[in-house]
Amino acid sequence: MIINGKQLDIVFGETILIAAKRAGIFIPTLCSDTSFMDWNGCCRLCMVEVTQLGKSRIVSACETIAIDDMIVKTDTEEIRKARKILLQLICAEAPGAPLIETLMKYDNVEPNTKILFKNNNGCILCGRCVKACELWGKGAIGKMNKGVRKIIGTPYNKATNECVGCAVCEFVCPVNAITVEDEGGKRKIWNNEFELVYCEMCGKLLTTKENYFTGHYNAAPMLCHECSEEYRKKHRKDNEMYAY
Amino acid sequence: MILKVSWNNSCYVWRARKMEMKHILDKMHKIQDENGYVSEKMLTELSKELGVSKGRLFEVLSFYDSFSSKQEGEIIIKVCTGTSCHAMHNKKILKEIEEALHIKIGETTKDGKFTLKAVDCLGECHNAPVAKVGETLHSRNFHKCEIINTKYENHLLKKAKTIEMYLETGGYEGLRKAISFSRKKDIIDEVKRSKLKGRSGSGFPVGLKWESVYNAPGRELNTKDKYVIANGDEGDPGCFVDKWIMENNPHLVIEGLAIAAYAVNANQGYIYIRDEYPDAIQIMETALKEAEKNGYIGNNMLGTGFNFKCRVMRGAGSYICGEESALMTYIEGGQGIPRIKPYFPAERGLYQQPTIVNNIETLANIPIVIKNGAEAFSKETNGLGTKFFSLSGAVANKGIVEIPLGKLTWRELIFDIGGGMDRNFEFKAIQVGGPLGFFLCESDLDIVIGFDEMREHNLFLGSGGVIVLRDECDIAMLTKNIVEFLAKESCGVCTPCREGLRSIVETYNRIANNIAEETDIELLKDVSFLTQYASRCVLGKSICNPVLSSIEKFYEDYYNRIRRQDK
Repeated sequence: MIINGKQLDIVFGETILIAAKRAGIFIPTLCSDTSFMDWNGCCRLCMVEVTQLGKSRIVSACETIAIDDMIVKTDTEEIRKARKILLQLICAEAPGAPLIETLMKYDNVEPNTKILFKNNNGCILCGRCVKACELWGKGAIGKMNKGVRKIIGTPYNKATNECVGCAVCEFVCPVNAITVEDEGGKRKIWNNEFELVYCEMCGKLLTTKENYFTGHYNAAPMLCHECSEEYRKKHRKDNEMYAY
Repeated sequence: MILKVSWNNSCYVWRARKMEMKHILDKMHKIQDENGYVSEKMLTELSKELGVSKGRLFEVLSFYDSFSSKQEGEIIIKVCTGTSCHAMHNKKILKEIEEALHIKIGETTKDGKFTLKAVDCLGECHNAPVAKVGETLHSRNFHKCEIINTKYENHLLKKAKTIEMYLETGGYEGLRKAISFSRKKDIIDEVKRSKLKGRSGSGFPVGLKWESVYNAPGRELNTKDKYVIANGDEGDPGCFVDKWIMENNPHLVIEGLAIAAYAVNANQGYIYIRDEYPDAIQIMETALKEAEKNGYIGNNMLGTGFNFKCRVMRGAGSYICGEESALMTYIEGGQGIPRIKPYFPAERGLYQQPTIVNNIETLANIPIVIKNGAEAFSKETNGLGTKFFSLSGAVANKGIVEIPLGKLTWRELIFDIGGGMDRNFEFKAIQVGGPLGFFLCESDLDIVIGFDEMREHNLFLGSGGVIVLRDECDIAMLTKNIVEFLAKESCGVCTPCREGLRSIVETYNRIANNIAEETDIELLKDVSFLTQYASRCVLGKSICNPVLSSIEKFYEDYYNRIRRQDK
């Protein structure tokens, strides 16, 4: 594969985005993450021009598999123009998000005063939280509705018993659009309230009760990662394994 | 080690979930029909039954218009807001109903009797404006869709509702002839030689599509299935061609589908029909039963030992499902979201198997191609075949018409065949090819109707809907209606399409309120460039067509509404 005039050997099955990263070429992206095992290609910031068999087309680098006879250009004038308008649109969706401001500085883009959205919740609908919930949580949230009314939410916009309050959705969000309130031993997330649990030795915040007991045996003491190591060293007996 | 186990486990769960989603839409339709809505309790039961999380199920439930998540009134009033009805002033009807019942769109009256809904197109554009109260259609003077007579011979426009009538006019002879061929490859060669092109708008040669499916191996060893799908999702406002064929000549479609399945060795077929056409669904289902009874489809088709099962897939009110890959995700169960290309459906389609997706009108052409032979088909119709058009709006003869391609101009279609303008109104423009099509002004009318001729002028033919607009019509406001339709019906996955449409709609709102400035037109052009350049699917890439062609050809409508300093 030739990327920006640079010859590059590719690994079978990798995407253009990963190949470019290895070659030291920066392609901006918001929705892609290699740990998701699946890509969605919805932010479209990573679009590149691919010439293959004499035909050129615009593809998103995060969902296109790299092939040997591709010629990839990541920084043509048209791509820069399209990315400018796209960044202005995303900036109008989530004003003041630090990651997007950095990307705008990188491309020298100013926010467009003409593009103003009224009902804004700061979400750019990249879908990372939904994928993370499907993989590490229980699939409690989803992309509801269609078209311009699309939102991330819970069924019927009510509290759902599928959510365990692990807050992995907040952890993966690139624009900090999901609010998690930890107050007085309670966590408020997705219209729901959860009881928090703390480490029995050092008093550090662990997670919610529902989340802790989905993956742990009830008999073991509630400990954070560091404390559990110590606990194991202290209480180790020969030929005995502690499940924690 | 642990990592490996969890990886395999999660992959297994994902795949299992996909298979469990298979019948979710059938089940949701059943719940919706029985109760009128899908409540939280029913969703919980369904989630326990299928083993799919409620979040996943509600994604599907909220994506489609046919399902509702809250209780609705006893009688549902549906007012059509399609392009034709908009051009014929449907706003007045909406306003009167809103004032009479004291509710707005999407609300229910306090006594729980009426619910007012705005729907996109009911396929009754020749009666525009229309509204549906319960199951009955209402219009100013209701009449059935008529065939407009031309001097050319009608090849396909023949009424044959039952199988007896169809057999009298030489029905299922094409299928018998196809079976008599010594090799299956000969059928595909016959279609290839006829130069038949897909009628859904793209104009892709049908023979090439079939050949690649015929040559493609099944992906997984244990399932060597291939599939054929008839695409009857005619969501374009102003288009009622497929509806007419399905309601009046259903066996033509079934015969075409059976020939396609026999040629490429596909054992399962689907006929997808949109939910707004309940009559077409019913007629097609009875026709399938009739055909199976007489042995034209089903096990051991006509004694060949070839099995072909076919069923009707009822749509759920989504425009994007007309896109072939979104249609396949609908059948698999889930939100109708287009897949990226490549892979094309001919390589990896439904359940990752090679799949033919053809339009209803394309399939209706197949029996004639086989029956008369490729040479006769291309000779009779100038090598291109015939195409249906549905005329609506301010034209004298409204209805459906069949004309040969590459012979007539738009002027002849409207002023000779269509009988000119209704009540001597003055002509302003025509809108062709549905919401993603173009506006043609007076000077464009001399373009010949055909796939290649239109492409020379950077236009495309589209699905065959022709809406004639009179002088009084404001093109800027009509484009606003089209853009609002697209904003509602886009799948909403990729940012350029979703947010681009959102900003375009807000700009059109400013234009409607007469507070727009010159820079707003520049913004429309910029965002149109972005959607065309970076969108994921055909819908996003074609948003620019109505916007840019209306700005280019009817700038005076925008000019009058722009606030200027010298005014």
